[in-house]
Amino acid sequence: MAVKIKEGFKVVGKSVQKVDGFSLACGKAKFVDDFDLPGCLYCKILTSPHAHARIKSIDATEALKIPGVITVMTHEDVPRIAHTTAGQGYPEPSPYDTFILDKKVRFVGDRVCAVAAETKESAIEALKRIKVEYEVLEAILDPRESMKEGAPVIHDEEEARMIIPVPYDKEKNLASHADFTVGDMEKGFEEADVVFEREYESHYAQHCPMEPHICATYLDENNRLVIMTSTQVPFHVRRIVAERLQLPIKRVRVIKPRIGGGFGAKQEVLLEDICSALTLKTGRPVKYEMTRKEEFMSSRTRHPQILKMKVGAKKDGKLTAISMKVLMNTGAYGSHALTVACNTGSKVLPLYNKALNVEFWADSVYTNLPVGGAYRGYGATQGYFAMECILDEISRELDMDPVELRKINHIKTGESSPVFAALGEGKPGVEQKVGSCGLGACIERGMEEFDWAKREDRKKEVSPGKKRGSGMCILMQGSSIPEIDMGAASMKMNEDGSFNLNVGATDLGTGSDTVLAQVAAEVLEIPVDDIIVYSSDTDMTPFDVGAYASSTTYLSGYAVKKCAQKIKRQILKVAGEMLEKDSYDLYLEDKKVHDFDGNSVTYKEIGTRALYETDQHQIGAIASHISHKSPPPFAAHFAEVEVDTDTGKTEVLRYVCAIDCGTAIHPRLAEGQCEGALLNGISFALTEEYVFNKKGRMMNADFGSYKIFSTGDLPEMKVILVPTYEVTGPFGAKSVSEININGPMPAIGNAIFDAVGIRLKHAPFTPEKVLMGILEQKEKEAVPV
Amino acid sequence: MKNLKTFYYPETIDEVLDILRDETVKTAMVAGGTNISLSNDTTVEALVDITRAGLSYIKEEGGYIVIGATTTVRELMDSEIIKGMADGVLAHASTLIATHPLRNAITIGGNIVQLRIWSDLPTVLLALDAQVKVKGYEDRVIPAKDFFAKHPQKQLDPDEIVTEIVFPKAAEKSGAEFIKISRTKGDYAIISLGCYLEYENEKCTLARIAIGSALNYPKRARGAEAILEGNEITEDLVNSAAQKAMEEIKPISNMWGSAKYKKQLIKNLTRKAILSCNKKAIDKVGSAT
Amino acid sequence: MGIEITINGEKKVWDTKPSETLLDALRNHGYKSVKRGCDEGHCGACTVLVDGKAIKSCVMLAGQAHKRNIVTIEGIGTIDEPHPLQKAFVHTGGVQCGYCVPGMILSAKALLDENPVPTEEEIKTALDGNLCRCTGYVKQVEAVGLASKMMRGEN
Repeated sequence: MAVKIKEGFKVVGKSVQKVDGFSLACGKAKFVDDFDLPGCLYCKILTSPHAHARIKSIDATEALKIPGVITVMTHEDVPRIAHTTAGQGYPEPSPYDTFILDKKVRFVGDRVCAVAAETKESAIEALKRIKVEYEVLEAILDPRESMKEGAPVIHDEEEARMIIPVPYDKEKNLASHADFTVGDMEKGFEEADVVFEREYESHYAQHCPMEPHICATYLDENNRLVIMTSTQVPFHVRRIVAERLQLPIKRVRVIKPRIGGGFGAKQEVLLEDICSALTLKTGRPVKYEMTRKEEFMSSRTRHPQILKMKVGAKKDGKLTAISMKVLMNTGAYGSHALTVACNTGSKVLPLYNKALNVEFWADSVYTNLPVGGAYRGYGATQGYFAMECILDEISRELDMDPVELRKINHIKTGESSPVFAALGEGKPGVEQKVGSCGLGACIERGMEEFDWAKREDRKKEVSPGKKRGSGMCILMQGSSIPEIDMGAASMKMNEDGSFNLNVGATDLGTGSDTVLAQVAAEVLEIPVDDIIVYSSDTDMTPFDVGAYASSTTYLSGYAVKKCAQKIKRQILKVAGEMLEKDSYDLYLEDKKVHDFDGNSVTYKEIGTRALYETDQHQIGAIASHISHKSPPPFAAHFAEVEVDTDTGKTEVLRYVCAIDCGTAIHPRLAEGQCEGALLNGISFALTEEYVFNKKGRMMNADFGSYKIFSTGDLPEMKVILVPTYEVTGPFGAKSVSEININGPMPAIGNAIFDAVGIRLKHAPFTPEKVLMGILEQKEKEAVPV
Repeated sequence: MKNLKTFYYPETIDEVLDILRDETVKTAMVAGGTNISLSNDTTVEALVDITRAGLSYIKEEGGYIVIGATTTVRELMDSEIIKGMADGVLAHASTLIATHPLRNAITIGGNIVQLRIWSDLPTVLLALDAQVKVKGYEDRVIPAKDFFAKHPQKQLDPDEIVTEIVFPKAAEKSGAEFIKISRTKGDYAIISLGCYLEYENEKCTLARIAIGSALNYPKRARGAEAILEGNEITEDLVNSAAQKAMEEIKPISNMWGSAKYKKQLIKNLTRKAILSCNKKAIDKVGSAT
Repeated sequence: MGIEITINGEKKVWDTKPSETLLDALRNHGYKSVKRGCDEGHCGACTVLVDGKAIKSCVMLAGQAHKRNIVTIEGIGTIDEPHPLQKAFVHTGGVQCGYCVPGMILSAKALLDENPVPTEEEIKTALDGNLCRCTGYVKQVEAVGLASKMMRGEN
C-alpha cells in the first residue's frame, strides 16, 4: 500500500476549530425557523388517509370560515407539471411522476391540499374542516405484487415519464430497471466448489434529522421569490421550483442557512414548491415546517429491497461468480428509484473484482407505501447487507476465517472492475482504476484493535443466559458522481489580508464549511479564521450540485483548492511588484509573501495595495471542478455482540471501524462522520423499522415508538482513520460520510450468527426476531433426522 | 386544550380539593405535564398545578415507605430510601422509564393514574403490594391490586386526588426483582415483570409476580404464585411456575411485540426473576448469619 | 394569562395563552436557541433548565413555569465568553449540525451542577433524552468529561 502523505501540512490534517462551532454551541446560529418574517403565514398540508384513492371533490367552505385562514390550495390552483422531487442534476434520472398537488393520492401521507393561515392553530383547525370525497382504489402494499398481471396501476396519468432513455413502464408499475452481465455466469457457477443462494430483505427507515424539513418563502423588494430552506441542494431547488411554478430561474433565489442535518432526506425538493405557490398566491411570507409525524409518513425513506443473491466460490475461497437480483420498493413515487438501485450494484460488486462473472438485475417498483429517497449509503447499505452476510456463510462452509475470504477477493490499488464501466447513474458508468486502496491496512488495523484472533476466547466471558459472538464485513463507497457532479467556489481578498470564501457546497451540519476553509487556508498559508465562509445562496455563491453522493470534500474541496491557487497567483503577482521579484522567486508563509533574500510583504499590505493604492483591482477568483472518477473510500468493520437467549435482545458490546478516506482533512470531523454513520447503522440494524397496518398506514410515526439510539444505548465504538493519498482529491482526500452506515447490518447479523447460530435475513434484528429464531432452531434440532 | 383559560397554583391539598370541588369550572390536574401538554381535550377550562401543594416527598413511617404523589421518577431513582427498599426495584424501574428530562417531570402519581399498557411503575406497585391513598370528600386507601383492576382514572371521582403511594417494607428474608424488556433504554416495555418472594425457613411463604405490558392493565400471575407458595424453590418448581405464568397471562399483540413473543418472554422472565429473588433472599440471610 | 418567570436571571412577566407550551412561549419571546424537533417530548432539542433541572419545554405548558427559574443556552455563555461545556463541545467535535446541542449542553450543565465529577455512565444517563443523529454521541460524552475537568481547573 502506498501511503504518500505530504509532510508538513499546516492546516490540513489538523482538527481546527469548527468555523460555526461557537455560534452553534451558544445557540446563536440561525436555522430557517429562527428567522422572524413579519406577516408570515403558516402552511399546513392535509394528507391522505388512504393508500390509493382518487379525489372526487375537496370542499373547503367550512375551513375558510375560520378566522385567520387565508387560502386553501388544491390541485386546481397550481400548475400541473410532472416532475420528480429528487434533488438531482438535470436531466434527472428519476421519473417525472409527481405533481405539486394531484387529483389522486398514492400513499397514506400523500399531499391532498394546502392551507395558509395567520396562525399555526387556525391552519391546523382548517385541516379538520376540509371535506374531501375519495374514491378508494385497490392498493399495492407488497412490492412482490406490483408487477403481477392485473395489479392496479399506480401512475395511470399520461404525463408520467422518464426524461432520459432508460426503461420505465408505468403500466407495470415499473419505476426503473437496470441490468448487466460480465463474463459467463453459467461457467462461473460451474467452476465453483460451493454455490450459495440466499434471499435478504432490508427495511424501511427514516433519516431522522433533528431539524425536520422546513421552508420559508417571501417576495423581496424587487418581487423576486426568495426561498429560505433546509436543503442539501439549493441550486437544484432553484431550478426545480422555477420549473414547477413556471417562473424564470432569475426570479428565484434560494438561501440555505444553518441546517439541522439531512442524511439525504433534504436532497429532495418537497416543501419549497407548495410554500412558494402560497407566497405567490397571497403575496405574503409563508412558512411550512413538517411535524415529526409528517417527517416519517410524508417525507422520504430508505428504499426497502428484496435481494436474491447467488455466489459461487472455489475451495480456496476464490469467488467465481456473483449474481445479485434486486427488487426495490420505491413507494408511491420514483424518487431516486433508478440510481439507488444501481448503486446497490455499483458500490458493492466492484469490491470483489476477483469474481470475473458478475450479474446484476434491478427492478424498482411502485407500491402504495411511503416514498423512498436518497439516504446515506444510497443503496449500498442494502447491497452490503446481502453481500457480506452471504460471504460469511460461504466462509463458514469453506471452514475459512471470514477475513481471509475477503482478503483473497477484494479489489486493490491499481486494479479495476468491469462493474465501474457497466453501471452508472442513468447512463453507463465510468471506467476507473483504484488509485488508492487502504483496505488491507484497514483490515489489519481493525483486527488488531478488535483482537479478532481472541474472539473465541471471549465467548467464555459471558454471564448465564447470554451468548457472545463476533462478526465482520468490508465496504467501499464512492466520492462524487464522475462526469456528472460539479462544484464551484469563489474567493476574494480583503484589505486586512482576510478572505471571503463563497461556496455552493452545502454544509448541512457535516462541517464542510470548515473543511473547505482548511483547503483554502492550506494553499494560502493562513489560519482558518482568516477565511470567512459563506454557503450557500444561489444569488451569492457559485453553483454546486449540493451535498450528496459523498462529494463535498472530494469534489467541492478540489474546486476550492483550484480557486485558492488562482488567488495565490494573483497575490504573488502583486507581491512581485512590491518586492520587485518574479513571482516564481517568491513563496507564501505565515500570511506573508517572502523572497529568498529575507524580504517580505504582508497580506495586509498586499490587500491594501490592491484595493486602494496601485493598479487597483479586486484579488478574486472563481473555479469549478468535475471529477472523471469516483475514488472509493474503504472500510473494515468488526462487531462483538451479546445475545440474551431469554429475551432475544442483542447488545452491541464493541464496534471497531477502520476506514481509508484518503487524507482526513479534519480528523475529528471525519471521525464524527464515521461515528454518526455507525450509530445510525447500528440502530437501523437493531431497532428502526416502519410498522404498517393492513391499510398501509405507518403506525409508529414518532420517536416514542420508532426508536433511534440515545446515549443510553451507545456501544463502545472505535474509529481508526487509515491514511492513504488519493491524487485526484484535494490534498489526498476521498470521502467519509456515507460508507460506514453500510457495515452494521451485516457485521451485527454475522455476529448474531456467531453467537446463537441463526441467520437473520430480514432486518432489523429485533429481540422478537432473534428469540423466535432461536426457538425455531431449537425445534429443528429437537426433531430427529 | 384550546379552551383552557387559566391555571391554579394551590399550595396545600385542601386548596387543591377546594378547586376540584368547584363545579362551575371544568378542571384537570397537572403535575409533570408530559401527558396533558399533548392533550386535545377541549373541555378543560383550568389546570390545577399540584406540584406546589406539598406532595413531593419520600419518607419512612413505621413499617412503610410513603411517597408523595408529585414525587418525580428522577427523585425515586436517586433516593437512598427507595434504593434501599425491596432490593431497590422501584429505583431500578425508575431508571428505565423514558429519558432524563422526562424523568425530571414524570411523577409517580401521574404515571399510575394515567396508566398506559406500557407503564412500568404499576407493575412494581402490584408486585410490592403498594397502597394508593386518595383524598376527596372521604379519604380512601386503595390496594394496588384493586387500583389497577380497571383503569385508575375510572376509579377516581373528578374531585378526588391521589396523594400518596405507600409501600410496605420488605420482609427480612425476601427478594425482589424488576425486569423490563424494551428495544432501547427508555423505550416502552414489550413486557415488564415485577417479582417479590418472602421466605420462612427454607420455604417460600409469599409470592407476588406482576406482569405489565401484556394486557391493558398489569396483572398478577396468581397460578404461578400458588405453585411457589409453601414450597422450597427448586429448579423444577421454577420451571413449572414459569410455564404456569405463560399459560395464565394471555397477552395481546401490539406494535411492541406479538402475543407469541410476549408469552415466551413471560415464561423466561418469570423464571429469571424467581431465580434472582431466590438468590437475593439467600444472600441476605447468608450475610445476616 | 400572565405568568411571572425568571429567564437567564431576568424577571419577566409574560402574557401567554394558557394552552401554549413553554417551547412556543420561549421561541415567541425570542429565545430561538430552544429548538423544535418533535413536539412530543422525545427528541430533547427543546430542553431548558427549570429550577436547575433539565426539562423538555415542548411537554411543559408555559403556565407550569409560573414563578420558576428558566435557563436557556443564551444564559450560560456567549461566543465571547463561552461556558466550559460550550468550549468542550466545540473542541471535541461534539457539534456537527448543532441543532441538538443547546439542549444537550443544558442537560450536561444540570448534571455537572449536581455532580461535578460524573462517571461515563452518569453522563450517558443525563444525556439520554437528547437525541442526536449526526455525532453518534461519542464526542459529546467526551465533551462533558472534558468540561468537568476544565471546570475543576484541570485543563
